[in-house]
Amino acid sequence: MKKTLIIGAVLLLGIAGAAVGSEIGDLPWNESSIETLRSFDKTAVVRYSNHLAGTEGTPGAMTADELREFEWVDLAGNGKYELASTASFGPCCVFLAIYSQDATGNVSIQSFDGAHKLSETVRDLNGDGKKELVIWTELATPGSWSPTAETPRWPAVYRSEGSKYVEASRDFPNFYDAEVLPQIEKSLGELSRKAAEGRGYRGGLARVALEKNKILRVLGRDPTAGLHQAYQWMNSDDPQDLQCAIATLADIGGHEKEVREIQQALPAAIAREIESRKGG
Amino acid sequence: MKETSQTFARVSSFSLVLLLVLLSNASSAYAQVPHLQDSLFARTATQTAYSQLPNCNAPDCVRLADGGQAYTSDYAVSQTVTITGPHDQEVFKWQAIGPDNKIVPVGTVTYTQAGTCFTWSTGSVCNTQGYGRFSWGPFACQPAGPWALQFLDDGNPVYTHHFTLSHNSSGPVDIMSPMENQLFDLNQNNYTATGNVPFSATTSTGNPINWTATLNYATSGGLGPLSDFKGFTGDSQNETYQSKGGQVRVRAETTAADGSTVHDCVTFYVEGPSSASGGIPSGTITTQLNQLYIASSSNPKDGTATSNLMTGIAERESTYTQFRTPAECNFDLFGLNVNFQILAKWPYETELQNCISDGGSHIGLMQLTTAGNQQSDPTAWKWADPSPSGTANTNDAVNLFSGTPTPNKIQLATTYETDIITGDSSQNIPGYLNGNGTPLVPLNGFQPLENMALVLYGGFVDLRLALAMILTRQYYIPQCPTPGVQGTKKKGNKIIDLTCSTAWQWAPNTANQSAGLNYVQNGTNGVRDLLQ
Repeated sequence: MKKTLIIGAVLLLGIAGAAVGSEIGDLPWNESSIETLRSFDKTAVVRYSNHLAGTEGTPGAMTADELREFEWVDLAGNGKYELASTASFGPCCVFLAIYSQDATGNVSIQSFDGAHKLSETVRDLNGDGKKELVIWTELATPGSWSPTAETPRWPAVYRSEGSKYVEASRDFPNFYDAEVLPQIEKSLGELSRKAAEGRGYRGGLARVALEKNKILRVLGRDPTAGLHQAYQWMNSDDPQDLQCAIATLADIGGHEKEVREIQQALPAAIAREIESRKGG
Repeated sequence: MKETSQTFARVSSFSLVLLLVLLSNASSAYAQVPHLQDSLFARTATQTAYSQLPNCNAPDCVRLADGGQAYTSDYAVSQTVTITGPHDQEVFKWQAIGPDNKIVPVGTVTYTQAGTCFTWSTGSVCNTQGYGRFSWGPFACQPAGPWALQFLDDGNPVYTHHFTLSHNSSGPVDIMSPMENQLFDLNQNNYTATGNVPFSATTSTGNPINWTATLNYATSGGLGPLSDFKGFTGDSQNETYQSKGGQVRVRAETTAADGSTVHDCVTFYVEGPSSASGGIPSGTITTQLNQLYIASSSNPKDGTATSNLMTGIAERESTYTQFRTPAECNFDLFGLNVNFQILAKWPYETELQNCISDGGSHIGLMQLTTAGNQQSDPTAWKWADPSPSGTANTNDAVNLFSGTPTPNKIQLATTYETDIITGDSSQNIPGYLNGNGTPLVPLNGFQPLENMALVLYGGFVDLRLALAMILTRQYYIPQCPTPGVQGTKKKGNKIIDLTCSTAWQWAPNTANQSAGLNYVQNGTNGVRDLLQ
């Protein structure tokens, strides 16, 4: 398995100076002002975010429609609060942003692609009072799935290390065993029963299997999980199966020749699928 | 013993008849021993018969056995329960379970010992001495099919009665068309409107029929709610639905021979263009997208734009589908598939994972953000409008990319291109300076701008990042190619330009935007790989 997982955008940057002219930035982000911070509405948060980004009043400023959710959370359980927000700027992605204020009032932002609802994304998974991030990470090479609307993802766990969050899924087997894998088994059962009703369900079934296999590989329980299925998928004419095969073989590694062959077959399979749909 | 009865008006789409017996010489035993009696399960054809419950006399009131037959033209199906000696804060609840297996709350009554009051959402009655008789049930103007009516005591089911709701051709009013769960698809007007939807009904009296047809739709997550109301009079009439779809509840009402109001109801659905009607032909989609793009305001119209670029987006985002059935991994709206094995085509919603919708944040052919007002901006149900300035899924998408309102993605890409070249001293963002002192040249031609705009359309850049970082996440970044040497130009301690001893060149941003690059073109299934 590839040691380095391409997991989308994770970025840390410092934004110097507290927000000028913005009450959110003027306040200390701690217990003393949490009630005030929580009183700011969506408009104020959008304005503050754009102010920090330096895009306020420009064509590239975030709009209120693009900001989905925001919440003030004590991520480290130390009485200091961070601003967590989700936003989407197009069909590919929902980004989680974590804004943190340091002792001098400087604010930094980390951005992750793959947020769900905030309540599902920012969680204390091991009960230690510190919040982890659950980031739904693309299973295939980022940006490569077609159609984009069906991009398969798996829930990766990020843990705080110092001033930033790093991927640490393997350290949270209980999360996968108690929550994720049972849900996957349920989905596999449901989609297996429905598979005969349409190729959409079969595609969904393959994507769920892809997710399960990825987790088994990440947890170290089966380093080649999905390899057998990948060889089956690569003989299919269904674009979803072919893409599942590519994602699996590329992630396991050592199958470059097969990946190239499947990639060459994929465009024709997509064209056949569109033809077979008999219109949109 | 003095008995009084009260009849209460409709609560939502349900009704409560409360028959209260006030005991002038109340037995204290009533207050100590809770007792429930399943007094009557009946259908009532008219409001008059309903108001007389628990007296139930044929033909307008008929006692039902479990599994009995009721009619959509009935006034109500109700369950009467006699309550004696309830405890303080005891909660009695009536609920119905419809053919779609959804629990439909009917009503709740709570008993309070102080004052011996029974209280429900719209009223209360006191001094009952702990004795009440309640008839409560759903009006029959509900979808046909198998129903259950349940009575719960403090959350525990006590009585459950099943009945089947069906249409009665010999009833006082009978809707003949549309039929229950019938599908009408958008197969007219370039696949944006239905053909005629025939409404027809008969009555036993020949009295006029007043019709209402209420359409409702929202994505699986309740986004883009849409409603439509039609009202008309007559035995029959044709109606059409333009740029909208969803569930339509129909009610036909007339006056019965005894002067009471009677009705029949039916539920049908408006879906996207069905496979039977051929769906929206791919060639039609292609033509529409190409025409919109060339007409859009930021298209230079000099042949330098990629004429069929929008077809690649439609392929990549939705595989050329505005509508999909649940068997194609789309949400099973209204539970039509799971409950009735009906596969209807609904606006295609983005998947969260495992064939589960994300609630419909993005929708249709171009996977646009679902418009909040689907009446004025029908991105879910109207795939195309012939006018470039019209509102529809493809129109909005092309306008978002290169039309109005501004800023479109081409304009935004142009802004970022300029920002990269010149920098922004107010934000300490350096510009790019060539060895000969000239700035980095603009992108060569329109197609590179299209690539930058595609990354922005796809949503691959988090616009909450600082502008300096946003600029590093574009499709192209400047590169100082070998043998050029990179350096800086300062003003005081401040870097105002990044220099290249030869000349900066634009290069695909593999370092910080690999996902966007894959989306645009990866040799397999990127937007440019899928052009039609």
